[in-house]
Amino acid sequence: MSLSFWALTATLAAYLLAAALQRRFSLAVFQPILVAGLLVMALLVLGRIPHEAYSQAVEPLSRLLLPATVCLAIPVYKQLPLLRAHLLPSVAGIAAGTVTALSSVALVAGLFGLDRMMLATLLPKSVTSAFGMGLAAEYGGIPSLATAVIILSGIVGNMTCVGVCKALGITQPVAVGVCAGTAGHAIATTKALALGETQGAMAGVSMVLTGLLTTALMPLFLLW
Amino acid sequence: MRILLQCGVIFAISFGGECLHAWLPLPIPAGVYGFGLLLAALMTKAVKLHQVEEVGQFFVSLLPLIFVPALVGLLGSPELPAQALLPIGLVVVVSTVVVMGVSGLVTQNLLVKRRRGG
Repeated sequence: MSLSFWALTATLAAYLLAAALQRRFSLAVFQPILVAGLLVMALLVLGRIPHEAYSQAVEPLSRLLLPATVCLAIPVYKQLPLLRAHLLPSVAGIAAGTVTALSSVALVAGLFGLDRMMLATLLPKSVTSAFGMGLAAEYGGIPSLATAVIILSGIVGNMTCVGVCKALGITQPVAVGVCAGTAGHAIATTKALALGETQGAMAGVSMVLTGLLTTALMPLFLLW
Repeated sequence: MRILLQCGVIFAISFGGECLHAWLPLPIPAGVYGFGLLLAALMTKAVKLHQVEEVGQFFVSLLPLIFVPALVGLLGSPELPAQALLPIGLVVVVSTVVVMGVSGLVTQNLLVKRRRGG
């Protein structure tokens, strides 16, 4: 039996360190997932550890993706009254955003002649990684690259959502939440939460609905 | 006991999601099925909130940590050609900002219209 708990320890240590860095500097680019990922990569490269050894040792954690995704139903269930109260405006906004995200990726892929693997990797870019990794895998994309693109999109969403809302006159708390959650999933949701309770709750619901809608619509964009 | 019971419910629903994924010929990840199963169970009160809540919140709080190994998997994926960087950058920056504008404006306008009674 080989050593394995170093990988989980290193992952947790990197994540906690990254989270502490973010609290210290409170900059959106210090997204803990991103910083922790880079720290672990640096450890593997500097320590000449094959990444297969790491991913094998960290497998128990990776396996929890499924139950963790399932449990996203709990916060959504709790926010159902809020969603029901603004059902049409929020679902319309989320649907418009999801179609925009998918078609803009298809447009870029078409312009640059990207192959199907790349298209399948990029299409779920506005979705939470919980759904997006599985979607990328389902259509023959690269889940790890999809995760990177999703996290970077979330960081952009986090950093720009206040400015975009101001510039476009998006003032209603529900609309601000929809805007953050649809474009920037959980990472922009943390920003929405800082703006207010309604904004945060709506962003969380929007992020999950965006995931469901993307699951339903993605096949249409891969038939081209 | 309560915690173990919550784990049991969540694992059973996860297994249900895996089964649907294996049996149904649709391109839907197991997590999406499982999410739907748990939401439906909560809405029909087949599962009560207190039967999943604490462990559920713990699992949700684990999500960011779970994405770290996923990101590290980049080390094992084929190297990106340099010409893929520009389209990826466009998707990450431009598309994200446009999506925000579109979704936010649609919701904002419908909210304001409804408030005016239109």
